[in-house]
Amino acid sequence: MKARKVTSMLCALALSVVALAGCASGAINSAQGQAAAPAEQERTEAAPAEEAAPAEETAAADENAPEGDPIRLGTIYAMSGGNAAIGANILRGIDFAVAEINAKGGVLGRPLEVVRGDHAGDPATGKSEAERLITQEHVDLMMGCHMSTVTEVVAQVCQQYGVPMITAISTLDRLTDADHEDMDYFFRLCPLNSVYVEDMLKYLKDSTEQTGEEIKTIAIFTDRAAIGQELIRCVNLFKDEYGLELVAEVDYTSNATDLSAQVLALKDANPDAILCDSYIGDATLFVQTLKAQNYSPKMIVAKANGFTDPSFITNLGSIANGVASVVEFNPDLTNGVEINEEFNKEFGVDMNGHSAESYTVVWIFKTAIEAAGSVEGEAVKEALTNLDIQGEFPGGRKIVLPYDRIKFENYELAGEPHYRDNTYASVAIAQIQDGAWKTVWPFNFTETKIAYPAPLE
Amino acid sequence: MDKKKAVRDYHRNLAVTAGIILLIFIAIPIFVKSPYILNVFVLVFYMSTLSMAWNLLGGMTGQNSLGHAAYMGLGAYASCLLVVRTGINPWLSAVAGMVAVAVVAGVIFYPCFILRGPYFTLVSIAFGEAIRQFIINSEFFGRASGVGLPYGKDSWIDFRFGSKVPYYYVGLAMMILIYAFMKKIERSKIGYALKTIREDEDAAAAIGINPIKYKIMAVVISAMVAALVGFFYASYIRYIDPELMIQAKSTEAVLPAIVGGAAFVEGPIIGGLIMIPLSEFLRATYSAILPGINMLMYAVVLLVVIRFRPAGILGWYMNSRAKQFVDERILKKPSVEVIEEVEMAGGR
Repeated sequence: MKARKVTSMLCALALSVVALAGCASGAINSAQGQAAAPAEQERTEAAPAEEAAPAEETAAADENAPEGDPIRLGTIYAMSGGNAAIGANILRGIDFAVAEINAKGGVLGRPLEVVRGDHAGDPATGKSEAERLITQEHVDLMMGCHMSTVTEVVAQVCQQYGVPMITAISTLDRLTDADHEDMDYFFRLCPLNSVYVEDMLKYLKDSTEQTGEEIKTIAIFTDRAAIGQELIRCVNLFKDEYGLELVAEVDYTSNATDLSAQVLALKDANPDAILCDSYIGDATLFVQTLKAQNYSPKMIVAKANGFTDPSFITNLGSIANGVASVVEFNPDLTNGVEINEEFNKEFGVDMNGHSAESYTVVWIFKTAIEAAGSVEGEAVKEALTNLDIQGEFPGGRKIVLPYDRIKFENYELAGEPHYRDNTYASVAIAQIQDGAWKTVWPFNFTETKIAYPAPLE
Repeated sequence: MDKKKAVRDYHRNLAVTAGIILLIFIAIPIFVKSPYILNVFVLVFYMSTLSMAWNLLGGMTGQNSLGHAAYMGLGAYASCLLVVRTGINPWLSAVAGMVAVAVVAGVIFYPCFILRGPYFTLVSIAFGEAIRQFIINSEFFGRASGVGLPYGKDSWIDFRFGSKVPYYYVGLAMMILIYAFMKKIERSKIGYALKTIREDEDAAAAIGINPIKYKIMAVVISAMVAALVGFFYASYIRYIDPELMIQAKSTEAVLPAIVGGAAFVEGPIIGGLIMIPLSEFLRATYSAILPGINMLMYAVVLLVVIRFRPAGILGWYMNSRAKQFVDERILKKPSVEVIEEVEMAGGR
């Protein structure tokens, strides 16, 4: 009997350890953009915003210290589960902005305070958390979420309670379409999925300026899953407008073991450029197969995902040189160098697209509240509607993202009406050069030139 | 005569106690104004109902299903798509969703019940994943991006409210109705047949119970209840996506029953009332301090319950002094012999 008890307790212990290990490895596997060493990750996750803020405050002059009731900013991101690493990156950007703003005297003389919710990747949990933050924690503003499906649900809760919400990184087109016309408390900073793809095509057209060769034909190489379908849909929306001919649509099933047939099909079609979107395993195999088949496309442009995974360059080494991808932010962007240095000093990792976008949203809220003169939901909503930031934030930095204006507008995209999107949002294109991502487009945000044709060696 | 009166009193006391518990639940929204707390209750109601659906198979029939999230998701999709595409009344779409799910479950599981052993569990996992993959790849179902229900003015006809209170009462009513229904099944011929199959399938077949027929009935009923929960979920969250059907969600349907006591119809309700508020509390309190710690603590609680109370909370309660005390002092329960004697005599 005693032995049974002991063994069962041991089993329980083992299970807990396995569960813990599972959590940790899941978090690391899904790290996107920048590789975060586990130790650093734990450190930043464990240190809430409040701790970071006072440290900076004491360094700043005392008369700057904000007083009064804090303005409460609710955040709903995945802090546990498979997407926790992405959530951690986003929260770093928020903490960084909040510390910066509080050190400069806060907003309307009041400090900003972050109240965190964890949606764990589930819309129903997101709804619960939104309700908790709004009705129990009384947040004045809301930021979220990482997954568009959760954002959709949280935005409805915010609308119901009249809490202004900005999403920094939810890119699903549908969030601001005709069905959401009346959701006037919801704003989006980041570009839409279709804008990502449109920017890829713009890059192809603009590249002529540096390469001297015009891109006329394109091929798509992508996953049969949702990400690939989205790429195909968007390319078809814009290809005629940019005068591009789609000569091949090559797809495969996720986690492929062999891509020779696909690569041969691409070789056959011989396009001027290949557009792709894959998860990390397939992205790696794709480039390896290109080498094995001795096929060297002149231009490869990816829609992030696996291609921007930290292990992509590590796995492939020099043969990855020349692959280009969409990025929301890159540390070598003209306006990003300085902030990235400070950010890296604070957290030990580079700023990535997610942290740069969430950083920007905190500053947008600050600017809007100061324009409104209050944190009252309706006033802030009005201020956000009329907000127009050109170049730099009042009392802050230049916009760190690859565009120089922020304005939420209603507009038409590919014939569909959209509401309250930042119409100036765009992405940058970075290319792997000498084993590191270098921004190559838009041309006015970088000095680096496109490596053409892609060396792949 | 005294014996008859004692039994009558006991039944009256039971009814009064049940009535008081019900009144407390009915009164909660009058005193609790926080939408967040009401939201937790709504979660308890629909998750407990889903767990009761699982319990009909897992507890009563001994067929462990790990695909209930798929029934629920399919029910949610069927009713949502009907509302969005054809504009029919949501309440009617709930019925249509239940019928659709019943047909799908019946057709898929009929052949698999010819097999014995763990095959049902395996098929239920595969079923859930297959349905999810199908939806992700189907344009009609909206692919990976899901389906949203229209928002608008509060309306009973459209089952759409800004406030939590109507959802609270509908959820409560759903849970009570399904409970009464399950109780009815337990005491009916079907219930006894299912329990016999659970204990010994060959013996059941030998005494004239057709195991396949009854197992199919159990799957179909269980799937229909799960579809009803799916309808409620969709109307409440007003947005569904294929993630609703992932394996972890099916496990969530099992937990309240296991913790509460899978051998009892009441088990899932007791388990739900304990585990869901606990999970919400842990997340609200700890997730901002150390993300993920809430899940770890939840897991530890689960392990402790399963290790030390393997029959669930109710299984423990049934043999505990607490029950003895409640029976003797509050309900004034006469001895089993007395109850049997009176029931045999035909009087209550």
